[in-house]
Amino acid sequence: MSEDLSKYLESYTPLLPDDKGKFGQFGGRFVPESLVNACEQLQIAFDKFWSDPEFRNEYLNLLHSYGGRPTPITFCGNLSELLGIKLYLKREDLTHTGSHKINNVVGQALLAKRMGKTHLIAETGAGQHGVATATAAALFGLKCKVYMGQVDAKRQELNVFRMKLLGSEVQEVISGSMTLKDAVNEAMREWVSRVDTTHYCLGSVMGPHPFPYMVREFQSILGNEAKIQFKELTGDDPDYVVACVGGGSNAAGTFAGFINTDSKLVGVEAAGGAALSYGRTGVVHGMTSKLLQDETGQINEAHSISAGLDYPGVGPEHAYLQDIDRASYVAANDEEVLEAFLMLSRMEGIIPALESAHGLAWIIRAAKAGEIPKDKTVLLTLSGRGDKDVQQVLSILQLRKDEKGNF
Amino acid sequence: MRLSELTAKKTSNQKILVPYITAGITDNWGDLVLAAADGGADAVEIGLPFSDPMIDGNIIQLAYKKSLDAGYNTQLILDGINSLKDRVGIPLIVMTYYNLLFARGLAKVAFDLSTVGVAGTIVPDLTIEELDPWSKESQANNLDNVLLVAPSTPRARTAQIANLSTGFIYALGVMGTTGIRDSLSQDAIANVTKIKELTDKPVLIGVGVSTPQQAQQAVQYCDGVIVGSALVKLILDKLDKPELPKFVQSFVTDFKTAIA
Ligand SMILES: Cc1ncc(COP(=O)(O)O)c(C=O)c1O
Repeated sequence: MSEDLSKYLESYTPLLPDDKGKFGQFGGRFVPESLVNACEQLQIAFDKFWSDPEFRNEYLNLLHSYGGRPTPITFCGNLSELLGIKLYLKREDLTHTGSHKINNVVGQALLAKRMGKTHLIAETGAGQHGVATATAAALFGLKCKVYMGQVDAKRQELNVFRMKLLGSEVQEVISGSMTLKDAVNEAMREWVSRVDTTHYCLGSVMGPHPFPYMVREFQSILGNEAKIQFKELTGDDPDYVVACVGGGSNAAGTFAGFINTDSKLVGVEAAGGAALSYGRTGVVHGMTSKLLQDETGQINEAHSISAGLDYPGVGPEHAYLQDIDRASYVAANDEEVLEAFLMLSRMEGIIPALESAHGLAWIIRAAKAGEIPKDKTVLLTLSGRGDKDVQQVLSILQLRKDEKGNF
Repeated sequence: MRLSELTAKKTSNQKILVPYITAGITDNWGDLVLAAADGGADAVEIGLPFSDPMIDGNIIQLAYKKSLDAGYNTQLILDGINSLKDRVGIPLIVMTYYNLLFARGLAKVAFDLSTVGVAGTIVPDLTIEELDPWSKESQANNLDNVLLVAPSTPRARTAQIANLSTGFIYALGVMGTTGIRDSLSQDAIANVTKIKELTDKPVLIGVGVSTPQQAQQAVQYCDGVIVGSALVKLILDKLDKPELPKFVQSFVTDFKTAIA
């Protein structure tokens, strides 16, 4: 591991935001004045500790001994044969708590501790970030409160229970559309009134500066590990690097490892929440980015099969990567996502999170259409495991059972 | 009509009262603005509803929801303000989140606001780092640009904000969202005291001034108050009453009397 770690530190040249926290025209800090100081303090603390070898080592060691890193890369022989490509998965589903979210929360909780904060608050959609935050809070002895839209809390009941088991309070949000975007608003409001004691552990590469940059950095371990592993495995970089995009943290962390390679970077959004495919530039949740909104600037709700991708915005770095043509962004619909979910389960014995299944859904479509040429290597970040989704998938599949009860 | 008349009032030691009303909270919201003026308001802050109001608490969130559900949008509200322009007799200030301005186009919306007689704007999610584009359009269209200072804003930054703010300075009375509070916070007093050491512009406390008594206490330290959630709550509670404008008028008069 230590050899990998040093490689990780050496090889990484991050894309930096400018002094206003912008990637091109995207990002920045659009918050009420009462949050400016908190954002500045956070930025100063992050810059200080992220360049401190002792902090980095503690972070990396924790992700190793507690988080289960490094996660392996798995070659999918059966699917590869079927699709005529070479498909590899970066297995974030095998981390502690079952998704990439742990990389971010361990970093932020460690930072919160160094800043002398005693409380964490977080927003969550699917519940994965909430569970990860509750986990880190338990580990570090911090009090934790997670905001979750009431609609999502119903869809992801098991994760609500997990958070409570871990000692966290779960606050159901009943404002607005009662989903992820409203949970973000509510967490921001809470943060304003408790900045002295509380760190807002934001779950994706979104929000005001420094969050998009900081969360990307904490997730960059994912892409940097993958780059090293993929080269060891195949002798080369992947032709395609694919990840699903909600707020965009697993994709940003993955892309960070390959930004300076020739790999094509592809982010896959949910068709019902595709800010990059269908959105317009605007300002919400403290950032300028691509947003789903009406012509007067009211933010629309996002709708998809996966709570974790139901976000009407996207991290500003992705809007920038799209703008400069370094990454492309596509959308997958619920139907093809469900098929991809079943295919990976049945052909490879891996039940993916519905979010991650979006990435696979696009790969299947693109490979069949020849958009990904034959024999190309494709690395997909499997951002999480599907345990949290089986109940929901079951209720959908019930509707199409045959007479023997098979799906 | 810019906000210079507020500066004149400050100079002659009159205390300033600015009630806040959400546009579209009810179909006769324009009458409520006029009633506030009749009650003795020195200016009225008109809120344009936004789907994701980060700095607003339950009461104003509900007002926004009512307005949006009733189909109000920027154009309809501009039309409504236009119909008040010749009757209201005091400056109108528009408060909204940046995305509504951005979506309409900064140049166009600044021109439109100015055309319907708006004196200035308050955009709470626009920090001084991001102010330039809106500041240029505001100036070009003779709109004041009222900026916020929070209890947490350090001194040096407060001086910068005070320097850039025109019309008056909006001193946040709490570290928190809009909403009704039981008492005027120590934060509010410390915040205005800090600001007044750095500027001669009028300084008004907004957020957390909920009763005439609190307003009276507040103006011992500053030049006036903005009263939002307490008034919006009264409106929400009495939406179906035909005498609603009268209630608004006497609510405003009670505050005005308290700070006189
Ligand atoms: C497994 C999984 N993947 C992806 C996401 C989407 O987040 P992001 O786009 O920040 O990676 C989530 C969010 O809940 C998730 O749980």
